[in-house]
Amino acid sequence: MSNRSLPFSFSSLETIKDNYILRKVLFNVILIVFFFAIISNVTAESYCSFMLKTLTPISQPLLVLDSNSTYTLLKGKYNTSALVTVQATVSIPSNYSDVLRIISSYPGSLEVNLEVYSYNNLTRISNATIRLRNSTNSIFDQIIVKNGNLTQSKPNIPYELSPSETLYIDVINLQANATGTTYVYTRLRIRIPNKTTFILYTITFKFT
Amino acid sequence: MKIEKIKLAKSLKMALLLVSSLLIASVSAAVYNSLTLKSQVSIQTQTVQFTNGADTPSGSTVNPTYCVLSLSCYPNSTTTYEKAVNITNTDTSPHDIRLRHVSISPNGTSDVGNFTSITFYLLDASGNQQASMTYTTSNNTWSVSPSETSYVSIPGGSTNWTIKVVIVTSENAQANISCNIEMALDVK
Repeated sequence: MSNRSLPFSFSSLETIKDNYILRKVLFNVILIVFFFAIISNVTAESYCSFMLKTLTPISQPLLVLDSNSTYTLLKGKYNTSALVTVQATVSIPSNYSDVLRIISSYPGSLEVNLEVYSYNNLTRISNATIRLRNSTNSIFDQIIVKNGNLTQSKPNIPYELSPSETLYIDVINLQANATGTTYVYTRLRIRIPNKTTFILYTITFKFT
Repeated sequence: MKIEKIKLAKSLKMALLLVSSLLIASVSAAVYNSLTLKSQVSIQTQTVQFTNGADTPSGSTVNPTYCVLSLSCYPNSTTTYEKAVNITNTDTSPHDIRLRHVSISPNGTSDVGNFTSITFYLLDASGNQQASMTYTTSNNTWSVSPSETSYVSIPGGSTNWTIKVVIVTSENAQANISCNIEMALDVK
């Protein structure tokens, strides 16, 4: 095989071998190519971090629940949730007054309302109204059930609770069309006026 | 014979070279090359910064680059701060941001059982959730998921995003117990 058939000639290789400068140049070219091949796979990113610290103390409740009623079981160390069990009689409406009380211990006014978040076996309830009543006997309907349907799950406007005021919860016109057990799971929403911060207490109504 | 002598001399030379290199190595002479890296460090105004939210509680400290929120919660209840603190991008260009867990205390003590969960939501200007990070308790131990959120792009032009916080305490929670969380807001 002659040297001419190859892309390079042995004579040129010999030239490289013999030429010191050419050897150095070739070596550096290889080194630079190798360096760039490595560096192309290296990615660098920079970011800065800001500290966000939250201190979350559990404070005394802004309002508590209370009851003199045998229908109600208060829950929690500070009575901040409750189970109200009342009987829904077939075809005869029943009224249960003052099953639960809401007592404010907050120095300012608070907006409060009840709202349904879930229920179970509601179809057997033909009528029920859960309402708030204040000390002057003004009433504020919160939740209404008619013919097994939830026609009002929360009021349009919350009640503005004054400092140290007590509200009463009544269950009126409670009537069933069949025997069984119904649960209406509600939350008492407590909001400081002009703020979007709110607190939720769980109050469960059990209609036997 | 002459050639063999030469070969022997070469081997001898090689051996001497090896010994001398070992000697050099053993004296631990550090040889290094130096490249010059010149940098100019300047303090700039942060374009992505913390700003007060509608619900930032009193007793909180909100500075552009750090923020300490005092978020009271109540026993056996769910407390929601819809706009605990805002994140504002004052730059004209968008930036990528994420939340990253740093630390939580106390952890591993009976105090932890007073809490059920604490969730941080990153909401955009329209109130849509862009990211969230939830701390939950089990057997008096906190766990967090995810430990860092994915990066999301906050648009430029003084866009306000907000952090919403939802705190759930356990049924038998008692007052005067506290939990401290430290997070980082990473900005690219």
